[in-house]
Amino acid sequence: MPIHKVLSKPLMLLLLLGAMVSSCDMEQEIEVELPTIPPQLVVECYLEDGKPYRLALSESAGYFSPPEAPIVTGATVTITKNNETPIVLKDSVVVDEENEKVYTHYNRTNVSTKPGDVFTLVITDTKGRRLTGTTTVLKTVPFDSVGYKFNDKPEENQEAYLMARWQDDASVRNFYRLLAHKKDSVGVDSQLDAEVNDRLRNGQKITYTTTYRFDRGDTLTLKLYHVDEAYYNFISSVEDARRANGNPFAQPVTIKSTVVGGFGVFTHLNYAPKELIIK
Amino acid sequence: MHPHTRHSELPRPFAWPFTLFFLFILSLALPAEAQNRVTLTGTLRSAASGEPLIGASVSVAGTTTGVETDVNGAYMLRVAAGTHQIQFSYLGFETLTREITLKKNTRLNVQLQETTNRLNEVVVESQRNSFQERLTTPQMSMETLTTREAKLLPALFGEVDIIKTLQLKPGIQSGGEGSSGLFVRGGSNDQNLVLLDDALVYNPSHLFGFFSVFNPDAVRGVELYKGGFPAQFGGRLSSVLDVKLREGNRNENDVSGGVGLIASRLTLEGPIQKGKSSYLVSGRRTYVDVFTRMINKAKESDPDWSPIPDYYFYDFNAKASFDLSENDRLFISGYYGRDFFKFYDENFDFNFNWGNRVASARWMHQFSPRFFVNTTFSASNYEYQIKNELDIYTFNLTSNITDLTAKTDFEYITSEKHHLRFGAAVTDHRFVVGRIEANSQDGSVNVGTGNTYRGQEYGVYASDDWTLSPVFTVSYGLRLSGFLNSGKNFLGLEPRAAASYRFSESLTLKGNFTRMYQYVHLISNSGASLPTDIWYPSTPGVNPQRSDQFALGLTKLIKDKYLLSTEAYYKKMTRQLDLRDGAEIFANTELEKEFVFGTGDSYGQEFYVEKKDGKTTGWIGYTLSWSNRTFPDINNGKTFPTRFDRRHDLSVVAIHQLNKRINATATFVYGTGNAYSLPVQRFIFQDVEGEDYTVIPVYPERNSFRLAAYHRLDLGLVYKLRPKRGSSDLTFSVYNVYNRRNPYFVFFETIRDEESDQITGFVAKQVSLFPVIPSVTYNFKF
Repeated sequence: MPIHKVLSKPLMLLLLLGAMVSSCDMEQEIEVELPTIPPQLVVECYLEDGKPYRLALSESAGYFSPPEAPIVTGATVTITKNNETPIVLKDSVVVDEENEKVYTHYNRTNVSTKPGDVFTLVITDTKGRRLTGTTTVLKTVPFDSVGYKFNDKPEENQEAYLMARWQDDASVRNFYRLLAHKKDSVGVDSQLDAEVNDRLRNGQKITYTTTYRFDRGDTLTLKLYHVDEAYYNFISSVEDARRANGNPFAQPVTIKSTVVGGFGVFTHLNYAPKELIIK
Repeated sequence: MHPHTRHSELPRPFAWPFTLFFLFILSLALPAEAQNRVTLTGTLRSAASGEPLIGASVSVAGTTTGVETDVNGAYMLRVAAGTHQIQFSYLGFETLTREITLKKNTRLNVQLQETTNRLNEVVVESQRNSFQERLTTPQMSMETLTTREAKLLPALFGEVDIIKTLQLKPGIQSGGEGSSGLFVRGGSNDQNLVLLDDALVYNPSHLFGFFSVFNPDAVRGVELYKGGFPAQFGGRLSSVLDVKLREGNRNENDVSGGVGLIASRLTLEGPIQKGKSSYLVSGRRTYVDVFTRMINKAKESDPDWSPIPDYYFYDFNAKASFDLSENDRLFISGYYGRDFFKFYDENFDFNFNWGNRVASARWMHQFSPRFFVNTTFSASNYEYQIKNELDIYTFNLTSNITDLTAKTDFEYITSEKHHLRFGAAVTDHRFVVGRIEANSQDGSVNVGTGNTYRGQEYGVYASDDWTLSPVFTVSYGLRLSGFLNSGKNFLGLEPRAAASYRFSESLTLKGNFTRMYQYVHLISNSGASLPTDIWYPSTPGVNPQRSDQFALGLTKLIKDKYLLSTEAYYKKMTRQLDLRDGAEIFANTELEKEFVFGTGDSYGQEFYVEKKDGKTTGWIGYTLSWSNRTFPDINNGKTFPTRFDRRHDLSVVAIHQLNKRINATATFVYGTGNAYSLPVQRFIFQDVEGEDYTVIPVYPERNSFRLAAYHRLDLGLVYKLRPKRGSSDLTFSVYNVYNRRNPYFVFFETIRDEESDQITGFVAKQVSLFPVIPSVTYNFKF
């Protein structure tokens, strides 16, 4: 975990301590006048083997505009695999209730991939905006092992940490995103989201461990995405941008989209999920 | 990377121009002139404590000839041979007038008696003569401040901080609310050469910048150069902060100290050998942690209680000075300080400490009253350590920098018209950058990394103050500096020039040009200065920074009472260093890949009025300024203002003596709001698992917004008590008297419906740091 992120929390606490001393209201609402700049296209498209072609298209909005979902209608959306015939995604709002996701463009054709396949996304809309993106399918990296271990507390309030291990390929720079979620009554409940690279551990077995925070009986699904650098940078920049708002020590962050002509991501997700029941 | 960029532009070979220049100076200076004028030199000291007096006035009675003593209490006055009434005066001391017949260059050390009650009467003698010196010297762009003055002024939490007092002078800005950071004429916080008794201090702040490391009880005074840098200084682009410690009482043992709201101080001083040598030991420590620990303890059983982090700092200063002989003096100084920050809960233990260690030894030898040399050996170390324990994991991060420096500085007054300075310095730097170790008890994690760099920095210089006529003086010098690292040798030729022309008894025009090189760089991934910022040397891939500064100014004396000065400046900086967005500076073995390079420029005009005598004294400073940076890789290559780009900056300082025992003071500051980046747009991001939609801010440009203006009034009162023995006072301060909510930062908050968790809107919020804060400090001396 980057240290400046670890640090910023105690620093903030310390600052707030200063504010607390007075117990006065040191936070107040103010008026800020923002310039109006044209909205840009925002796309989120994750290709997954065996799942239909689908994506969410929207646009950016002024920060203080009403919080309505800015749906973009009438756009032409195509995805091309290698040099095959482009697949056209139609305007149709699809709600994936299980994953609590909304898609705006859809084609029932299932995605089928093998490592090395190149996909290209082209979106043009009625206002003349054009957004493009390319992604190459990477090899799936399987888990070597996943496991857990309880701490020494009395059994009734023992907690476990989670451990995942996989082999890094020494011949290339690799980037990973490790997710774990718990299925609960209302859908998915994210438990872990970590961006990992092999800078310090190239070619070695990479072990990722959490703190003690899982309970007996938890059923976890672990997914290890083997991602490209662009997606890794995008996810990191999104995280940093979110943190920058409200942290006086942070610098503003430019969103590093994987697409050109707007914000967002176009990538392929590959993973070999593992289920782990903590007993 | 690009090893042959700027370096190749420099003229080669380099040594030649410098040697020629040096010979030129000597040839100019050496021919002895008809000695119808003589030089009177010496040191002014307090008769009681034997300590040097800074900024005291030495003048020829009945004339406009006068000078001010420097940070060592030394003065030098040039007069015609013959008999003169020489007058020595200093605020709070009895004025002394001596009749002297001068036939040749003479040395005269003088001791002044303190007036019986320090606040009894403000010296009626006009400070005219020290003002006179400012009219005659070509030196400009410089501020002098003594702890004595700083102690009168109101302070945050009652903690007197000479650096924060300096921020009240024009052209010097703070890094934000309560910060002791210095941003001089649009420069960055790492471009200040901070010297404590000639030893470099890398991180001159405690508590993330809220306090400086300079304990007011140990510090005698400071000189800050904003421009017109004398040739003996080099290595930083924007300022030289020369801090001198007190020498201690040479005649009797003293104990002094203070008890304040958040910290206490204690100082011991006295003679080692009466009248010949002295020592001073001073320490202070904050004690907020004692209270926060008690609160944490009391709340231990409350499961919702988030413990307040533990924080404290302490520092020690020590100094010993010896008169070895009539012509030799030795000074040994040391500083040690540490900040501790601890943050913990049940399964989390975060320890963070940082601090400086500094030591120096200076030997001053006088060949004759007109020719002397100072030779200094110094060592400086700054380090931080983070130790983090999280369950079974331990994680350690350390960075440090260690410098060893040797330098020698000669001063030679060859004739009435020439004052030469020349010398050399060499520093060995050792940088350990981001050494990281991560381990777990079960051995599943074991990582270690870190880099060590070495570099040698050196400089030789020569300069001459040349009095061409009674009204026209020039000062010109040259410094040749260099830096060796990994077989790469960087060289920098730094011309320094200044001139002053006196139109009348009360009006002088001054101008200067200086070039500076900086070979070590502070790598910071935050807008503020944090202890974790890393110092990084120039390498084949990272060229030294350079600045060129011009300044032009007028100094005017009105009715012998008010000193008015104005200076316009322009500064161009190249090879400025910043980090890419999202750069990882910790445990990065290829740190240089995260650097981006650009240029900076700043310009403005400063106005200053000062009144030094009468019951009411003080000053008003105003600065109109611009400060910009341009980086091809930041802000799409578009020039952007620095965070501390401040169009208007005003400070008013007033000190009024109400009666013999009470001094009332007030300071008011006003500054244009900091430049700030705010998101203009946002978009909704679902991510691969749509569990929680997030709002992602879009920042179009860097620092394109302005926070609201900053303004604040502080009031202070120093009340002298009448103890049976020694002296003591109560110092009252009220910080932010009218409780202004000054902006510290602004953020945008997402408002969600409590039940459905749906986003219902967005608002901007402004966070302030310090409301009105009254404080009282008890100071004693016996």
